[in-house]
Amino acid sequence: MVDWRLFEPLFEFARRKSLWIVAFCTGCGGIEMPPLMTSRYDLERFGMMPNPAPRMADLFLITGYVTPKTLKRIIITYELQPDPKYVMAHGSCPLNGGVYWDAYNAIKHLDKYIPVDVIIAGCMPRPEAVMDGINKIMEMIEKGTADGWKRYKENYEYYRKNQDELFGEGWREKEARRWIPWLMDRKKEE
Amino acid sequence: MREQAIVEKILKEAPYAEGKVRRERRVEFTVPAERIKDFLMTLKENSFELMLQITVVDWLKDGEYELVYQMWSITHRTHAMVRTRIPRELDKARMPTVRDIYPAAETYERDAHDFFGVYFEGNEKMEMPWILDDKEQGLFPHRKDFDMLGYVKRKYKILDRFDENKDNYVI
Amino acid sequence: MMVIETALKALLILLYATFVGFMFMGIIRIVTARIHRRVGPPIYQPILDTIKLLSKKSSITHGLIYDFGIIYALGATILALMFIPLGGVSILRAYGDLILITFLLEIPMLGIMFAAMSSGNPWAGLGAQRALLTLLAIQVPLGFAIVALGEFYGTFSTYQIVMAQQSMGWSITSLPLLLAAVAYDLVLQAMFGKEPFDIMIAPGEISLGPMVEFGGKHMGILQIQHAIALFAETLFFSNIFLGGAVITAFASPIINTLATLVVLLIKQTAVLMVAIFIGAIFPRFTIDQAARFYWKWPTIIAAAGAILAAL
Repeated sequence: MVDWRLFEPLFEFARRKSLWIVAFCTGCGGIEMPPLMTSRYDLERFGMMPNPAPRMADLFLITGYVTPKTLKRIIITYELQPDPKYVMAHGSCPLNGGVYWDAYNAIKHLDKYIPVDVIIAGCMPRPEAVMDGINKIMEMIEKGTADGWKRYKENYEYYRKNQDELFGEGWREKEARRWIPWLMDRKKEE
Repeated sequence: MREQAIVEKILKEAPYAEGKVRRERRVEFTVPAERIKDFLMTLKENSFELMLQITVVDWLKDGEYELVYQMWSITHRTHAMVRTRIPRELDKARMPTVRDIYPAAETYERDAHDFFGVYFEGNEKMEMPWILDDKEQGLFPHRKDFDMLGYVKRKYKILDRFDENKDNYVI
Repeated sequence: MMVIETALKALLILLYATFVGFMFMGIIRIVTARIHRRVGPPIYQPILDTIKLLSKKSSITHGLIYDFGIIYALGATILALMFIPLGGVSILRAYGDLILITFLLEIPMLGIMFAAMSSGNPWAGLGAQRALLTLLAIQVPLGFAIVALGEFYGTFSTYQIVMAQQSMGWSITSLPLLLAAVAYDLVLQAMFGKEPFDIMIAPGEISLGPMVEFGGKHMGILQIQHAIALFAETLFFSNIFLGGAVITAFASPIINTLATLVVLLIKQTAVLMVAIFIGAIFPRFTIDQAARFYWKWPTIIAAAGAILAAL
C-alpha cells in the first residue's frame, strides 16, 4: 500500500493554492466580493474560485453580521463541506456584534457556534484587507495551524450545546419541517 | 396646480378624508381607520396603481399606531401617503385587510403583523411564519416598549457586558 | 510482447491525453481571464485543483450507482479516446467508426446523469433533465453532419477519412463538409458545456446542476474525465474536419510521431480557441431556446451539407 502521508506536503500545497469559496454571502460584505473576483483585484490568480455547491468548497466566507436564522443555514452548510475546510469571518459583527451589539436579531460571537480560523477587522474591511486575510489563511494552512475543522470535531459537544441553547433542542428537524403545514394546506385547497 | 386638482377630485369622492399637498408630486391624506378600504378603492379608481409599502409608526405617548400606506401613481407621477391611526393595545390594533384591492398588500401586512402586532382581518396568511424566527414570534420587537437590551442579554447570555443605561459599556 | 507493447501505448496515450487535457482546461481559464482583463490563474491550476479534490475526505455516499456512474463516465471517455486516430500511436484506430466514437463521446454525460439522479438533490435532478434535453437537441445536427461525412467519403471509418484527406485536402475545403463542420462546431459548444449552451450546469442559477452533490474524490475523478473528454473531442474534430496529421517526412518513426502530435496539438488548440471565444462573449440560452436553436440553424446547415454531399 502507498503511504499517503508521504504526499502530505503536496496536498498542503494544493490546498493552499486552490481554495474554493462557497458562495454564501451574509450581510453587507457580499458587496466586497465582486471587486475581489473581477478584474480589479482578481482572486483567481491565487487559484480561488467562487463555487455554488458546498460539497466541493474549502473556504467559507462569513461576510458580515449573522442573524440566528442565517446561522442555522451556515451551520448546515458548514457541516456539508468535506473535511479540510476553513472559515474566514469579515468585520466586527461576527467578532463581537459590532454596531449590532444590542440588536435582538444578530448573534454576538460567531466562534461560539462554529470554529473560525481568521477574522478580519473593519466595518466593512476593504478588499485589500480581505486579500490580507486570505494571505494569512494560506500561511496558516502551510504551517498546519488552520485546524478549525479538527476543533469542531474535538469540541463538538461545546458547539452543539451553544447551538441548542440559541435555537432550542431539535432545531434541525424543526427547521426542515417548518413549511410543511402551509404547503399541505395549499394542496388541500386546490 | 396638478397635485391640487388630484387632491380636490379625490376629496370630492371621499368627503370623510382630509387631504393636502405637501410639495411637488407629494400628496397626503388622513382617513379614519374603518373607511380605509373605501378610500383605497377611490384611490385605485383615480389611477394610483401601485402600493409601495405599509409602514407603522409607534406613537408611545399617544397610545396609538400610525399606519401609513404609500401609494404611487404612474399616470400622475405622484406619491400619495394615506395616514390612519389605530389604538396601540394588541387586542385593539386591528385593521381590515386591503389585499383584495392591492394584492401586494398581503406581504406588507404580514410584515406589520410580525414586527408590530397589527392584526389585519381577512388576510388568511397572517399566522404564516414571516421574517422573524420562532423565538421572537409574538414578541413584536419593533414596539417601543420592547425591552431590547434585557432580551439580548437573556438570549445571547452576555449578562455583565453592558450598563443598563447604555451610556457606559465595556467590551 | 505485442500485449505489453499495446498496454504501454495505451498508458502513454492516456497520460498524454490527461496532461494535455489539463493544460487545455488551464488555457480555457487563462484566456477567459484575459478576455475579462484579469490576470488569471497559472496554467497548471486545474492539476492543483484535482490533487486537492482527490486529497479530500469524502465521508458520504449515495449508494452504488452514485459511485458507479462516475467510473462509467471515465471509462467511456477513455474508450472513446482509444478509438480516435492519434498519429501512429493509437491502438484501436482501425475499428474507429464515426458513429461509435460520437456515441462514446456522449456516454459520459449519461454516467454523470445516473450518479446525479441517484444523489436525490433537487438541483442535480433539474440539471440532469436539462442535460438530457440538450443531449436530445444536439442529436439532429450531429447526425446530419456524420451522414454528410459518410456520404462524401463513402466510408464511416475515421482512419480512412484521415487518410483520404491526405490526398484530397482538408474536409473543410469542400463546401458540403464545410457546412457539416460549422454545424458540428456549434454542437461541440454544448459538448464542452460552454456558453451559450451551459444551461445544464448554470453556476449561480441551479448550483452547477448535476455536479452539485459531487465532492472530494468524486469531483476529482470528474475533473480527470473532463480533461480527457476535452482532449478527445478536439482531437476527433481536428481528425475528421481539419485533416488530422499523418507525417512520414522524417526517417525515424519516433520523430514522425512527435511531429504528428505537434501538428495535432496546434489544430486542437485552434478548435478550443474558437469554443473559448464563443463562450466568453455570449450569454446563456434557456433550455427551450437552446433546443429551438439546435433544431433550426445547425440542422438546416448540416442537412444542406448532407444533401450536397449526396449529390
